Amino acid sequence: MQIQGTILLVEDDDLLSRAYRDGLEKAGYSVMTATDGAEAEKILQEVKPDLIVLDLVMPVKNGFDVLEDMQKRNAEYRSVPVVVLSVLAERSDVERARSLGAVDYLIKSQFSMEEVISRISYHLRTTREEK
Amino acid sequence: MVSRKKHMTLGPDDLNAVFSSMAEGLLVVDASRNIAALNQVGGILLRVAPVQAVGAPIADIFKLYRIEQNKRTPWPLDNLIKLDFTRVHIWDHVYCENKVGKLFPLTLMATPLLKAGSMNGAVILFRDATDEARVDLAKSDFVAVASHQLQTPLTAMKLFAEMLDQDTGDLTAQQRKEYQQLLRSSVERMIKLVNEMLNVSRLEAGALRIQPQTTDPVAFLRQIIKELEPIAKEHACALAFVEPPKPLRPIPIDANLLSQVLFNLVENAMRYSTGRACRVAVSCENKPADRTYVFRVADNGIGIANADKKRIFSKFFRADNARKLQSNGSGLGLYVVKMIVEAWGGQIWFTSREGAGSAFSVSIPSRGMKARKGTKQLSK
Repeated sequence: MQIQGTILLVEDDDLLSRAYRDGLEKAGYSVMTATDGAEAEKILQEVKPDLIVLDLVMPVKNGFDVLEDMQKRNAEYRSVPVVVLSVLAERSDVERARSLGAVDYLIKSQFSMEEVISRISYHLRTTREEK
Repeated sequence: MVSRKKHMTLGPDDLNAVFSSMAEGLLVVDASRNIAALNQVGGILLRVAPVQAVGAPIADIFKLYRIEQNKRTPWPLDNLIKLDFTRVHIWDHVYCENKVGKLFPLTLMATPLLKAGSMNGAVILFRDATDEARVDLAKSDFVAVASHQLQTPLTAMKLFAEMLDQDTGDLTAQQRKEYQQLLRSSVERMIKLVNEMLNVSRLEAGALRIQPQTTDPVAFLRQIIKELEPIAKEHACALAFVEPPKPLRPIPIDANLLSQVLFNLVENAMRYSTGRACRVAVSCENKPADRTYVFRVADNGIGIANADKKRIFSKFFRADNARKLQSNGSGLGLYVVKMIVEAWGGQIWFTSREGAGSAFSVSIPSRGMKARKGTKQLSK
């Protein structure tokens, strides 16, 4: 199968990370994983993925901090779309993530694997078309 | 003839004494929205001398608000003035800003002031509800964190079930088996979490049953170590029991509770030692000077950072290094352990150095645990 794009999946829970990774790989994406924000940033220094799937509640460095740091980076990194995938369902969390540049905010329990993948592929397509 | 005991009759001065002695704030407002009376407690809460308040518009003294999502909006005083005289009106979650600018929650009760059959204002009773608000907040925080904690295993269950369900033959037999196992792990995690939450609520209700029986602590520990050995093997951990130099006198112990505490501490010691040559030592000794028996679980694991030490027994707290090593965990284990130990009249403490290991100690009074006829037993 042709690789549809490279995704950095930042998720601290081992079971969820495994599920999303397998789902995305099955859909044709190449997936790199990080278990917290600091690890994600280390990967980002080396590689530029096509899209980042970002959890918010994580040890060491949380997802909001990652978003904030990405805003401070150069335009090349700011152009990587970030889809937040979190259990946090408060409107204030959604607004905060959006204001920090997240292109989408998916609440884990409300989205099936199929829906998550379809949203990710939509954002990848839109980003490519904009370029 | 029926003899009647002398009883106190109240004159106008006595009524003032009653108002002054009330535990609640009392405020009377007339039909023109001016304050007709304010008792001492009311004056203290509103930080205004009652004599100065009388005659002032209620809006100047009684500034009430609703607070929603950190936004403050004025609470209409009309609620207090335009009353339906057929019932008592009670409000919670109303905030008051007193004369020195302090904002605090109030519980309010108002009834119409009826004179000669018509409404002439209102009688308002109020009290500081800071403590109730704190309890409410703790409860809603618990619900918020608990639902967050539950959603992770629930989502994992949903995803693995979906992957199995929607398989159109792409998955190999091994992958199917693996997903079934991951689904089962998610269910087990969920069960553990729900049991821990139930234990928290049972312990917080203060109704834990303690049924001590005379027990030889050394024999008991030998048994516990035996039961823990398979888990130690799973974690590739060397588990040792350091026997006390002298035999210990048997004392009343609730074996279920002590084993629950020790299981939790030993499992923690093993979980947070992963990736190292894990060594866990369990010991027990008599401390005659403190009149206690002390059980100790020491490990050479990841330890606790100084910044996290104060919060290690807090509900739902998980240290960063622990979360990094084991994403699965509720942050309830040590909180529950501490509550159990304190319920049997003991204490819990620890020494730890990040990167070097931790040693948790729990004590039991050397006279033994005291029986308690509680209604609740804990789930394992």
